[in-house]
Amino acid sequence: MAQELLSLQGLRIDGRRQNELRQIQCRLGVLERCDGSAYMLHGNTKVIASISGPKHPTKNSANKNRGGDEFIFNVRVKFATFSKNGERQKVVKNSKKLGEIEINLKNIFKSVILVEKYEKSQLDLNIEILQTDGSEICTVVNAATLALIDAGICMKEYICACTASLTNDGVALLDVSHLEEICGGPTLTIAALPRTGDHEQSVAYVELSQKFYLKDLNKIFDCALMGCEKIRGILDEAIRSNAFELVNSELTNN
Amino acid sequence: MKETILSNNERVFVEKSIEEVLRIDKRQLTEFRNLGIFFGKKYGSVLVSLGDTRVFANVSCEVNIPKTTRPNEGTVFINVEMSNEKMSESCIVTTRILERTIRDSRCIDLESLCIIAEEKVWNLRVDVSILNNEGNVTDCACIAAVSALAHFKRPDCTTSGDGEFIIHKSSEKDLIPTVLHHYPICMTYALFKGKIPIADPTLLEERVTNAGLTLGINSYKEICSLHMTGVSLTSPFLIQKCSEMAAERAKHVVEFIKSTLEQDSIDREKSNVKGFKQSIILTNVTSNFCDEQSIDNNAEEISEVASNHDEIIVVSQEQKFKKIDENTISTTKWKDENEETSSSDSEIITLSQSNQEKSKVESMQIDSSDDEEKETIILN
Repeated sequence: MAQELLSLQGLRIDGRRQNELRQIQCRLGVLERCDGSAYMLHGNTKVIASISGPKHPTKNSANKNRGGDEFIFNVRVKFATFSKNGERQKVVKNSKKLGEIEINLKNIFKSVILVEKYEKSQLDLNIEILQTDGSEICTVVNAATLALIDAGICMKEYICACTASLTNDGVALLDVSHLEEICGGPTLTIAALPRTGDHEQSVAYVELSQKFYLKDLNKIFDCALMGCEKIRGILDEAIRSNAFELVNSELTNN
Repeated sequence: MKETILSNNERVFVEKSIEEVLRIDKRQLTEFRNLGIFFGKKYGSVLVSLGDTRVFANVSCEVNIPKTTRPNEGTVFINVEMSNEKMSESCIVTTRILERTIRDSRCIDLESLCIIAEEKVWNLRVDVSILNNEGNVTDCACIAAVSALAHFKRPDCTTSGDGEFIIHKSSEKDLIPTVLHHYPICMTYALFKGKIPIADPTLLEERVTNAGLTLGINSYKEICSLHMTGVSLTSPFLIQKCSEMAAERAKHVVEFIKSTLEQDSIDREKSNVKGFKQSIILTNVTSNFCDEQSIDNNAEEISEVASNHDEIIVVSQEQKFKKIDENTISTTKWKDENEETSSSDSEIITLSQSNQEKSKVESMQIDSSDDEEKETIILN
């Protein structure tokens, strides 16, 4: 805990500036067999998200829905056994932490997907976390957004997630790595719809742990929201370049 | 138990009333329900009521092996139980919020729970059971867990050099209270259409709005946790506004917990422990007992009503007959229990039978009473 999060020169443990994101790389359509997929690299955190659907609800999930006509959205998150540092960990099914992540993801995407278009149908989101290095939830959300767009699901906006932390001196740090999470300091995870045209920025999900003074909340919030805006640009670029590639390949084939 | 489906009428009624800045239980939008904290006879057991929501929390301790990453710190385990399902969504969410607010905010001095470093530490286990869910379970559970932890006292133990230790009984050495650095309190706001925050929502309001914001704040205006539940989109300004409102309220709640704790310790010194019986409100009606009504009077009333209002007769007569049925059945039952089969009893039976024919009320109660009647008739 003794380690300084921000050095005197204004550099963090991994050499980033205070409001600098880690390197983000993403690819759409990495898996052949499903309706939409995306691969996301957020620093050393690696995630694959895949979508199957919209399809006719399976018997099992229709029963859970008590035969209603509502849109069924299932999320399954899996940490790979080799994803964490140190020894291999046993795969724990139905743990509370995983359960919570799944519930949260369900709620986040139900608020952005145009649900009324997908009544009486089912959508499955499968997420595999290959490697963890902090900010897993926000990487998962960004990857899932790309996969949903790849699958052609109607959404209100891109939904981007980002984390922010706070040093002891009250300086907000963007995009927290695993080392910084351990070193103490609060971590705020936020999933937001970015500002577009007339629409104000709106928040779909907030999660915060560890305590800090209330007056610093503004700072940490603004920092995380700025990160969301930046990530939106990166996602947008990836989607556009992917679309160009698809069009070009179609043209050359014909 | 399956949840009943929320009707559209209820939904529209609640939505409209909130738009007109009104709530069903006459509260202001930012007003919380009455809070009651009742300590049990044992240390660490507490019953908390928030309006009609009731939560019981119990703290127990056991000796355990510490985690390898933190060898000189005790552990805290929080378990929330709802009677309906084992791993329901709301149960998971509540448990995680409590873990985040109480455990991750490091409000308990974990180092004081160490007995021998790397070998033995105390493990505090907080069992929270939700007795009655009338909305806003999270707040109630959080207050219950925190006040139970503050109330709890663990046995003292002494260590000898060679890794052995003795746990003393309460009669040998005084019990040691748990050290809490601060009291984190959860505050829930339901977000109506993602714009209007409603403090301390009831079950109906929770189901209508389907979205909420839970803030964990202590009395020093420090945020310990923040969580958004449900499907909604809100503006970041609203979250900041809510956090300021919650900070004000947290101060009062913490003061209330401290004052009840003090009162409890005073009561204990006088060995005047009230326990949970003080949570029962005597002015409330808890059973549906009513005095026996004679049938003649009712007949007169019916005839009076009939003469006054010709149209209402049908309805009122049916209602009256139902009442008479219930009364007579209860009397027959009561008399069966006392094994008194007098002549008056058979009279009532004949009357009730005739009443049944008229009103044709088919319910389980009457079915069962029919059997009893047959028995009594045979006896006669």
